[in-house]
Amino acid sequence: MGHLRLGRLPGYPNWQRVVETLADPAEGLQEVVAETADAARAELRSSANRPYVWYPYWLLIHLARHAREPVAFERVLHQQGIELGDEESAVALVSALTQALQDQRDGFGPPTAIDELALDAFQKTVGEIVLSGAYSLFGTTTDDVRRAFAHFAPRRAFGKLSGVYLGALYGRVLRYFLSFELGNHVGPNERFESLDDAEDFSRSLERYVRRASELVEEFAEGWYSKQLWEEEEISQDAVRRFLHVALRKFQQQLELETE
Amino acid sequence: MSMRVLGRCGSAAGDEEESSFDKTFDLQQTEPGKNVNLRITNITSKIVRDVSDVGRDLLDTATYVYVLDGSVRRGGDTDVYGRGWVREFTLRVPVRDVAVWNARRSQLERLLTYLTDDEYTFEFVPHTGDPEQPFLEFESHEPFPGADCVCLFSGGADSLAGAVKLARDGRNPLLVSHRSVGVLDRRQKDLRTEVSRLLGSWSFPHLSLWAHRQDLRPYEHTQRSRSFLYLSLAAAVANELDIEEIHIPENGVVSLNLPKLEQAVGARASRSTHPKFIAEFEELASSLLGRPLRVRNPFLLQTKAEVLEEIKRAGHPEVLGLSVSCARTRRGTRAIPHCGECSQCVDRRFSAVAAELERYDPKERYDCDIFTEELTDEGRKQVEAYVRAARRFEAMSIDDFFSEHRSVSDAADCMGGTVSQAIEALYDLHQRYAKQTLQVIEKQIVAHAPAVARGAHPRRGLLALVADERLHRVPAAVLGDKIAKLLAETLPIQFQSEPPDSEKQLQDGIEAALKSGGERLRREGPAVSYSLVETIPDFSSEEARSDLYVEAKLIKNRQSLRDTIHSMARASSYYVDEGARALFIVYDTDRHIKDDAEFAEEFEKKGGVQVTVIR
Repeated sequence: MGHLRLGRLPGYPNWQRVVETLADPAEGLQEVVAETADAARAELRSSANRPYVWYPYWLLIHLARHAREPVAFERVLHQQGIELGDEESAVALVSALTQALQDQRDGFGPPTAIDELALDAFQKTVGEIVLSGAYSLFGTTTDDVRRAFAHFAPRRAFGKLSGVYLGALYGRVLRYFLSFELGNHVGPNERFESLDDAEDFSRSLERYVRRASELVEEFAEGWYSKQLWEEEEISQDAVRRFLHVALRKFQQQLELETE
Repeated sequence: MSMRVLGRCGSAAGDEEESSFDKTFDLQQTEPGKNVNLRITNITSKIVRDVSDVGRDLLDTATYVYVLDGSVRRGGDTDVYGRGWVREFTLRVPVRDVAVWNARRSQLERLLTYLTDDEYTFEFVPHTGDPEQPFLEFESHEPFPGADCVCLFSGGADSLAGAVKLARDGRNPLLVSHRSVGVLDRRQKDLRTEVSRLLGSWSFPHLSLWAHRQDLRPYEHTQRSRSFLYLSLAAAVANELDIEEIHIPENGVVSLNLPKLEQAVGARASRSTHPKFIAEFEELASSLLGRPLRVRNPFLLQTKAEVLEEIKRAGHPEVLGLSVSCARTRRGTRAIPHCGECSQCVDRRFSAVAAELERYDPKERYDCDIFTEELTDEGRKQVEAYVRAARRFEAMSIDDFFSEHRSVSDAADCMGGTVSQAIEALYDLHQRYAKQTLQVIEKQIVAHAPAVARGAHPRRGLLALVADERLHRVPAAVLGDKIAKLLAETLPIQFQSEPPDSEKQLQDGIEAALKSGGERLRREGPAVSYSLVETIPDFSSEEARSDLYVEAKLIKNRQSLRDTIHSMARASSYYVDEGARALFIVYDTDRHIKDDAEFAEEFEKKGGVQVTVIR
């Protein structure tokens, strides 16, 4: 019981470069991130086509766009199979939203590792949206959730929402791959002398990805405006195509930082 | 791409490979072609009886699922993209009542998918073939007189505590075990015999299940479906004996099994006793058997250390030494049953120390003592993950605890009560777990301080990972102490005739005190962005090796105390996440804070935060 299966990075040259970079204390955080992002590039690119990755993003946009009117918001929830029950709390609603995505498995197919991370990024993003307007998720109501989402319909705020989801996803992807190797470099005479050093590295990586995501926000705002101007709606297909580009932009941003 | 596997079970076996599948297996429990062994032995007395059709079908189905699980590899440890992790199983299973099973097919498939991450499709066909020998041997009408519940019994510390607790509560459990290897069987028997002897009040009858493929050893060792087999046996037996309660004792931290490492996505961190799985099994089994069945984990809201205290309370802590928690069952010996470095051993070692039961679970019974010996690479990774997870849990707000872990949402939906209440209980559980773990480390550092001071501790051991940190004190902490002391001395004098009216007035007073004390801090800035929110500290210093942010808080009434607590919690997260240190100066003239130390501790335990209450 309570078993944890540990893996390791593959022996291919691109992943071995990640191992070498992580092992070398002279290589900074940016270099480690750049090598990891490069090694995961193909997998990330193909993940943009996967419904586990683009659908949560589309759902966030859809909820924000319909959040000004309680009836419209409830309709979106209903379409996801969510009925607001007796417990009208934010946490119950956030749980239900994530569960609704997990229940799509029949249609989406078996999830890959990045798919699982996308679901995690979705829950995290919804939590952050609610917390942008409240001290805590606890003691907050479902109507507070709706009002919080409504703040992210305008163009500028939409950029922020995109930054959070993409940042949450990308950050998780990087930490996921690095977790296969990081533990090998903790201890005396290793890159990370202590657990504190390893934890500092993780926090620095989070901050680094967050800053990169801020630079993608403006790009997302531009896309959003153009889409609404031309199509008056944000379709699932448009989101899927945008995500391809956005993830590539993210990658470029991370690579630029090392130049 | 997922491997597509067909399992043709019993009389549904065929002659030809089916081309739409990557692999086809024929699984037979009887001759000819028998390759699956399902044996249930009653260890304590001889009894014979037929099992009901639905009970037999449940057990057969669970056996086939388990055996097929072990027959197909999951992609190996370098499958970092997870493409091979999920397998797509189609099982063609003969059952005695096809309509009953078809009505519950989707429920069964969803339950197994959650437990294992695999995809399942069942095709139920009518059971044909010769009547089989009864395989649960019960000789009398009431084979276990007085048994009023079933308790799953792996031989580990948690199931031992479960059995002991039931007996202390005046219950009479029938113990049910699954033995995957012979050595486990002996250990379970020895432990049961000793418990029965020591407690004396009940005989602890014991059934043991053995299920495996006869023709080859398992290829895949993750065994995520094992729990379904184990519970199915318990349900089938409970049904035969008119028992309505099954206990599956496991501490809550392991039940939830929140990822200690980022690579543990989905069911890579096992869900054997996750509340969602337990609730769904209970519903399915009750529906299939046509009677209410309650499946309970009595330790869901307890840490392992707290569970071990149940054994202490029973008055026979020595019995702990006979239980074995190690995942590497084939490696251990009678004298040294624990490897010491797998995730289960690490957890047990920490918990035994936390529960002050080390005397009954001595380090000599571990092949490697994580506190004092050099660790292998694998061991160091497990220990590193374990301690870092405890630190992360301790530092997390309840909002982060919920947002970061989908598994928490999954559990909260199934625990009864409101989702909010369930999450609060699970958060509290993990806070206690983190505190217990970190206190154990403190204890070890103190106990081995002379060796650490001389640098004589193992350089690739746990102490090397944590003890050396304490030698470095971040200058921001030194500056924070200095400022807190200065303000604690000067602000009461400044405001002695009239307390501050507003936070701005308090900030003005702080600015004046800092200037006269020669401290140069920037007022109102810089803006610290975190996700969708921006916060601006009242004062900041960029002269320290890492940043120090200072905030002034004025408590005027109970509402402002509540608001202050919330805003301090949020701000702490932002600042610490930025790699900075946070100092909160809390001015509380009317003593709305009842206990200053307790108030400060709530924030300071996160690390990187300092709170000073001034009046």
